[in-house]
Amino acid sequence: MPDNRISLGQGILKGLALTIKHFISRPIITVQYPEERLVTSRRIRGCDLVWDSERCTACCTCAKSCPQGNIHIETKVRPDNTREAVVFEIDHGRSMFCGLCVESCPFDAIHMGRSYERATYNRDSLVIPKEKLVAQGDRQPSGYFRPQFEETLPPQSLLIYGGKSSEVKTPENPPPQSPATAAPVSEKKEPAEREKVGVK
Amino acid sequence: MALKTEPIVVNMGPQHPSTHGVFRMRVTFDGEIIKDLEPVMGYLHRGVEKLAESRTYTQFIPLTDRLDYLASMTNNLAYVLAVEKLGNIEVPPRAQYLRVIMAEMMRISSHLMAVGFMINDMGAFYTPLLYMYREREKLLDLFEMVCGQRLTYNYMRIGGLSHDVPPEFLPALKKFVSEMPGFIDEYDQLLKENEILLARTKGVGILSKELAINSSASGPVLRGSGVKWDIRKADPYLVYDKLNFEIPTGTVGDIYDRYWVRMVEMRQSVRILEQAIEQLPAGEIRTALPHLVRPPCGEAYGHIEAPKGELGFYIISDTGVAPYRCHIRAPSLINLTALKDMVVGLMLADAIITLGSIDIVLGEVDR
Amino acid sequence: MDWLHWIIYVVIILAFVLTLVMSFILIERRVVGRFQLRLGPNRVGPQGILQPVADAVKILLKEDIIPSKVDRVVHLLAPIVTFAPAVLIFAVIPFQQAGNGLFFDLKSTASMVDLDVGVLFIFAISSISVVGLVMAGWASNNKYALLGAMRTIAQMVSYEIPMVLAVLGIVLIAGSLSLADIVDKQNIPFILLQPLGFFIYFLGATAEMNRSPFDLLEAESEIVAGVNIEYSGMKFAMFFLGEYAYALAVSTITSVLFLGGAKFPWGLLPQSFIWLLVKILLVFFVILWIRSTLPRVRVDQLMGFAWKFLLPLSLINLFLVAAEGMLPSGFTWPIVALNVTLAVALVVIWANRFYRVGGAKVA
Ligand code: SF4
Ligand code: SF4
Repeated sequence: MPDNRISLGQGILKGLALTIKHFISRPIITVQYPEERLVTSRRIRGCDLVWDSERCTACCTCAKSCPQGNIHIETKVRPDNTREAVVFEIDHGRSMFCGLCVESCPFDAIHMGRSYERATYNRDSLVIPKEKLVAQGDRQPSGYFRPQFEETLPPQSLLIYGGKSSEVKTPENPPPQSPATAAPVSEKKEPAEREKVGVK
Repeated sequence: MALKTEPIVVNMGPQHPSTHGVFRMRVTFDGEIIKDLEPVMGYLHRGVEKLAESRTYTQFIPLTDRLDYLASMTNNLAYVLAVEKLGNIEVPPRAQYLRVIMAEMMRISSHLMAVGFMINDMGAFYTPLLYMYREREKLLDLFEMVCGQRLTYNYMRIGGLSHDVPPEFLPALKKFVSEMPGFIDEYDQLLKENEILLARTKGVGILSKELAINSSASGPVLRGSGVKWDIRKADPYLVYDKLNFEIPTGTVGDIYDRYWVRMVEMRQSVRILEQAIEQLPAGEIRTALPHLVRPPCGEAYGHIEAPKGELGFYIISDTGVAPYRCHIRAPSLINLTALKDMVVGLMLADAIITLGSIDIVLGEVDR
Repeated sequence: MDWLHWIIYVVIILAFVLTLVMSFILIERRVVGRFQLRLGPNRVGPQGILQPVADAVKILLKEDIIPSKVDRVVHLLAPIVTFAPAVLIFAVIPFQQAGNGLFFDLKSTASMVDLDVGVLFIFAISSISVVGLVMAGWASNNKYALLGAMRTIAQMVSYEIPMVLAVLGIVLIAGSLSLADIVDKQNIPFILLQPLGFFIYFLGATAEMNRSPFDLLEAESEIVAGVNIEYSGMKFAMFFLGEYAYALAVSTITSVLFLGGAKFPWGLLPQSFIWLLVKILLVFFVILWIRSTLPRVRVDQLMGFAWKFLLPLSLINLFLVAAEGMLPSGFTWPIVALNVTLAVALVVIWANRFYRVGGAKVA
């Protein structure tokens, strides 16, 4: 079904021009993980759930709202008639990190974590008991449904601003505050340094 | 002397680089000409519809992310629209606009993947795909900013949205909207007039208008065949009736038309985004609802124009906390039904790109 | 004396081919990466230069699988038959001409043998590799491999004809089949005298070495790497090396025939093998540039392109060269101008005609 358009190979030449333009002048957009890391969203639903033993009243709302049913809680009544979670474990291997438990907790006692590196060698180690569920090390709460944390976290790096943090080019944003509850997952390289790696 | 020849049967898939997942085609070849094609599906069946019956209405939202995982937002949207229709739930205007913004961002991102992978199936060594990934990545950054994840968003809620967007979202989106037409121009420069692409796609894999309608195809596949049918216009939901946009249609129904429709739709989506950002009102983003939604007894069908076609959720409620029955009209599956008619008589390479031009996602086909 | 010469050149050629093939693999991945806005391999060694070594070690340690239904002997022989001709080609390549050089002077041409029929030798040898690929496709007892082998035969046989006809133009101008003589005659690179010939030769060669947009033999998205599908470990490495060695061979032949080999253009600087190397890399870069831009053509379009587009053009080209040969000498620059104009005009006219009659379509 040839049409009447004159075709002289100019489409191919245009394409070649575009690719060589990219070759010469466009910046590399990939990130050299693990040396370079981008700052994740303030609301990231990382592959952790962080639990706050002080605030938890063992009301079990989170367990009820989990679509997978993978929050396991056993409670005990204290002498002052409050409840305490004797067992609180989450099977991270079955969790789909949907955040519904975080959303439903009435006491802000469970948070999504910020970390995204949780590879292990066996499945059992993904079932995390309550001693290990609390915030420690790089297991830090993110701002998902927790505005009080969200404000303290560093701004996300966006590719649309060249992979740098969003505060760089949008002056209308508030200046970033020092992260209080959460230490940044790791240091972020300066963009200039990234460029340097990019050019051969 | 006539040589005796015989057809060969090749199992393409479920492990084949170009079947977009675990789709399998039993193809009968005569040389390289396709004599027969039999699609075999079900390798990714997870029983999502049945799972819905054992989840509360809210708990099912994250599972809809796993249907068409390249367009999770629109899956969320179709589902919550169906539940809201069932329960007569009002949605605040700001949430409606934000839903439109998310759906159109999702459409751009999904079409970028569709076109990129189709060109990849055509044998371009990843370059167009990676240029498109660059823009998709920008969108994923924005999705991540809004809802914390890049693939499974779980962002829509019954009666609104889970969060409002953060303050840095709109400036970034505006920048994207202003840049995107330039990038689409670049894709056009790379692809639109490329003689090899024209030779490969024009007049290949034709789906006639009648067959498209009869096989109940939808989305870019239907519009590529020249049928002006888009649910955003035909049965406007959210605030689409307040926004200006056009529906591109092809003429022949070949692969090139489907590709072209997708490219134009991306431009139209950018247009919708511009208007939606401008009109975006302030206010609430979620109607107050009880923790467990219990819609009244009845049934409802909510459908939207997802990037791949008409995505519908048919839900029956018996006033319980979970749907009594949930059926999903998956556009990928239904668009796939005409595959055999499109490719018989063509060559092996054509079958691959025809499949690519339908743009299936196996998570949705097999459910 | 003779033996010494041969042994030295065997070592030189093997070193040349193996180091360049290794660096081609890295260069290809880095350059294509840059085209696609990514870095490519950069982990092993500084800037990733040890990546080919790491790949080689990995592939050597892989289990060598011989599927139970294959024809064992043919299956095992095929990679060797494919790889060997690509190296043999270098036996006639003149790395540097006799006479003064940039770094050192030579008494005779620096090539293993300066065959009088060098061009013929190259084409005869390079068409052997198709036998290896067909053997692999047939012996693998796999339908994808068979389809790949069928495509190979059709493709290689068709593209050889326009390629050879295009090179005949060079032979006519130079008046010799010996590569050293051809380089000697290139006071201006033959690409200027023979732009159309270069165009045809380059496209034909791209098809011959299965490079995009003519990489139908491998066509990962269609026939899952074609003939390579049942090969693993060292046998696969042989195919892989063979492919790159062939790319190297094509780049070298193009540099020698059309770009003036070891000579600096117009003799501005003394000749040296360095210039040959630079030219080889330049040609390879163009191949990569094309590869990272274009989609693949379909098998019938591939055939149509060879027979309806390249073949007529190469015949016209041959006729033009013969006609120009009758002119008295001394008209070099007018002829260059005329040839470039003619080449552009012919390609444009023929492309348009080819497109209009639907040359690229199924009949
Ligand atoms: S984490 Fe929250 S929802 Fe879960 S038991 Fe504790 S207080 Fe209740
Ligand atoms: S994130 Fe979702 S799946 Fe995981 S424990 Fe919470 S509710 Fe359950």
